[in-house]
This record gives sequence, C-alpha cells and structure tokens, in this order.
Amino acid sequence: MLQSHSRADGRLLAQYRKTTIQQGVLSKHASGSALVSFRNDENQDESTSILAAVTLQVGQPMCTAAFPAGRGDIDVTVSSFKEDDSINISVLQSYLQRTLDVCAQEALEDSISTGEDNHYHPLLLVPAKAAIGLVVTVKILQNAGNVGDAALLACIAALMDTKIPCREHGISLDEKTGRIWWQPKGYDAERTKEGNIATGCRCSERGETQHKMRFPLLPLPVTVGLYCSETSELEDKRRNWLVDPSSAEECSMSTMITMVVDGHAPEQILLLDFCPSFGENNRICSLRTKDLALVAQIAKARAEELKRILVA
Amino acid sequence: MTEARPDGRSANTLRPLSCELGCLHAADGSALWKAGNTHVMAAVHGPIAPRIATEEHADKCRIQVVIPTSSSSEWEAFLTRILTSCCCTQLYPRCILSITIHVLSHDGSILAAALHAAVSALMDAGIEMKTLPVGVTCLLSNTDILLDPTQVEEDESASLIIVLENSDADQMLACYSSNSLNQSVQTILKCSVVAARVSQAISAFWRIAIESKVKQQCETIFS
Repeated sequence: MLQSHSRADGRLLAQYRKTTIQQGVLSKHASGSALVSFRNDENQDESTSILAAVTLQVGQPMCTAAFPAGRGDIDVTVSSFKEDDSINISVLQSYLQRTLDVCAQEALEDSISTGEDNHYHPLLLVPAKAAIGLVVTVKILQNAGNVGDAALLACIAALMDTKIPCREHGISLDEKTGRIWWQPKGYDAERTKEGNIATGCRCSERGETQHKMRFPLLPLPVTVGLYCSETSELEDKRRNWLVDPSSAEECSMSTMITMVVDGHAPEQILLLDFCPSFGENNRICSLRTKDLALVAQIAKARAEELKRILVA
Repeated sequence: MTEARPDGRSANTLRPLSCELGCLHAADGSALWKAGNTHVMAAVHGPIAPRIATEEHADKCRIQVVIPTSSSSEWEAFLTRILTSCCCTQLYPRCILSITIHVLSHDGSILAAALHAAVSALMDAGIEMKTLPVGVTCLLSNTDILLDPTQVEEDESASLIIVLENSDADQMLACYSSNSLNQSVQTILKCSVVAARVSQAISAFWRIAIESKVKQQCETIFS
C-alpha cells in the first residue's frame, strides 16, 4: 500500500469515501433525524452507515454561570445494530457527548422580548423551571471504519434538522400538574393565573409554531491515521498519513488523530484527540509540530467540504 | 499582563508535587501522587495470567486500566493506550497487567495526575518501559496559557492535556481536550512548547522519588 500509494479499496491515501447525508429520514417519529454514509463506490457493501434521531423531553433546566436562568441539554445514546468488538460503544458515547455539549452551550436564538435585558438559552421554556432536553439516539447500522466521524456528522445533521417549539407563543407552566402549556397564535400571553407562571411574550407574526435552532459553532470532524514504517531511512518517509481509515486500516495505524473544527471558521480547533493505537506496529510514533499543522490543514479542507454537503 | 491566579501561582508554575511509592503492600506496585489538592492513588497487579483465556495475547502483555470513580470510559481507554505504547509489553507475553486508579481528592488536572500515578506505580512494580510519558494540563484562558489548573479554573475555561515523550515539545505522544477549545493550531503548539519546559521538572521529580525509595530500601536492608 505504501509503495503504490493506493489502498486495498482502491482509494488514494488522501482520498475520502463518498459522504452522503440525508436529513429528515424519520420525520414521522422524531423531531430531527439524519442518515450518514461513508460509501466506497467500488464496493458498496463496505460502507459505514450511522442513523441519528433527536427527540424532545421537558425537564429541569441546568443553571450555569453563563445561563443563570437555566439552559437545556443534549444527551447522547449510542447502540449498534449488531455486535461489533471493534467499537467501544461507551468511549464513542463519551466522545459524542463531549462534542455535542459544545453545541448545547453555544446554541443561540433571538432573545424573548420580555422588556428585561435577559438572554435566554433557546432550549429554556420557563426560567429556572422547565427546559427542553434533546435526546440524540445514534444507531450504528454498518461499520467499515471511521465510525466516530460518521456518528458525529449524523448527530450534527440531526440537530440541524430538529425543530423546537417556537417560544414566541406564550408558554406557561402549571405547577400543580407539572404541565407545560403553549398558547396558540393570536393569544395575548400577558396573563397570569393563580398557580401558573407565565412568560410575557408576543406571538409570532409568521404564524410558525416550530423553528430550527441556530448553532454559532458547527463541529465538523476529521480522523487521520498515521502509520510509521521502519523500512525507510528518512524520518519523513517513514511517516505515512491516510484519511478516513477503513476497519482494516485502523488496526495497523500507529496513531489516530481526531480533530474537530468549527465549520463556520475552519481554522479554529474545537477538539483535538490523539493517542497511540493498538496497532500491530509496536513502534511509538509521536506527533511533531509540523504533523499537527498538516492535520489542521487537512481538517480545514475537509470541514469546508462537509459544510457544503450539509448545507446543500 | 497575566492576571494573578486564585492560589497565587504564576501561569507556568505547577502545584507542589508529592509521590509516595509502595504505599500499598498488597499490590505488586503502587503510588500515591499528589499535585496540590489533587490526590490520586494507583495500584498495579501483575503481570499475571488472565482469568479468561480469550483476554491474553500470545506475544505481548495486555494492559487494563480501571478508574472506578470515573464516569468516563474515555479516560480509561486513553490511559490504556498510552501505557500500552510506553511499556515493553513483549517482555510479558500471555499476561495481563491490571492498573487500578482511585481519585482520592479532586481539584483539577485529574487525568494528568492519574497518568503520573500509574507510571509511578509501574516503576514501583519494576515493569520495564520504553519511555516515560509526562502529561501536562494546559488551560486556555483569554489572556494566557495556565498550567496545572485547579477545579475552579477548569470550570471557567477549556483545557487540554498534552502527553509528551522524553519532555520533548516535538514528540507529542497523546492529547485530550476536555471541552471546547476554539483555538488556532498555533495556540495548541504553543501549549506543547510551554508544557515541554515544565515536564522536565516532572521527570526530575520522578528521579528524586525513585532514588529516595531505593535509598530507604538499602538503609532498611543493611541496617
């Protein structure tokens, strides 16, 4: 592979598999959904397919320093369609949770016009009382390598597809029953009943009851594998990079680097994880300064490509 | 100008370090690592034969890291990979090396302290290693890069841990970011340079800890 600079599946070392993102595949059963596939055109049986679905739950808000009135949260659950020892489900779930927490913190929406100078989180319904929790369920349908990138892309696409109730309608919480009430269009929401807590707001002039959230930060991942061979005498030629590794290639990598960059500003790195692999190659292959700079360039180019696919 | 930190340290100063080797007599190797108010204990059991035959590798040792108090399995996988690459696993075939890490006191920079405790326990157990990995936690604040942050500092800003090989900034073995960094690659590379300077102090501290342990054992044997 290293001498011919082509892989077992016919790709070049710097060539990605074809990425397809379909949003709204479960529109009847989930608030948002997406199906992401990394497919090899020559061998379509070996493709990585991930399905993500977002459902809404209402619960107690999380109060933080940035949002003292409380904010909503995103919870991730990962499962696999069939048993696969090559995937560590709990590690993947932790990685997705850590990355999507970035989206939950930075999500924005126009603030409610309450007359007060407050900025509310878009998932907050009633300050300090109720907020929306987004439950993201990820299902690994098929694994042919690079599951982490595909899973994160599926989560992001599903969140972008998700519609949350429009807060420009009146929202009230009945503390006796614990129920949330949305006022229909045309109601004047400036009313307070005994036992109810109402938020003062104007009704939407567009007549919409649901809308999508806006994410100032768009986490887009890239995973690159580094293979160190002992054959070449030159230090640089011993190090070989390949993008979007398949399952077989992941087993032989010395180091796997995952970099998550902001799709709106690809030179900004949101997350950086790399550690040695359990490859057959027993050499320690540390990263150098110029290696990290190279991966940042690869991540920037990949983020621009993924953003085009997501927006299209 | 760098703002003063809550505990009065400068940006590049580590908290006081303490390492006690062989504190657990029941384990093959153990270490209690303290960095300020962060206390982590590591215990090494092995190399021993695994209970389940499918867990063994024919040509090398399998290292297993367990952190009972941690809810993140990412930390266990992260430490397992680093220690597997740094230990001479081919010297102990068909064996398993179990490392249990207990966080006794939590005040920030837990992952780095856990790594150092595990490495100290492996040295105490006499496990041969190819290199000593040194982890430094860097906090990326608006003004500066703060090393070895406390829990209060970590709650306010994003941090990443850089693991270096041989205290060389150009030999980064691993990296883990706990939260959204939102930084350029130049800032991250600057972190590795700053971490390399400080990691030499940790390597020197390890030498002092091992020397004092050997000296104490010699005095006990020949007294």
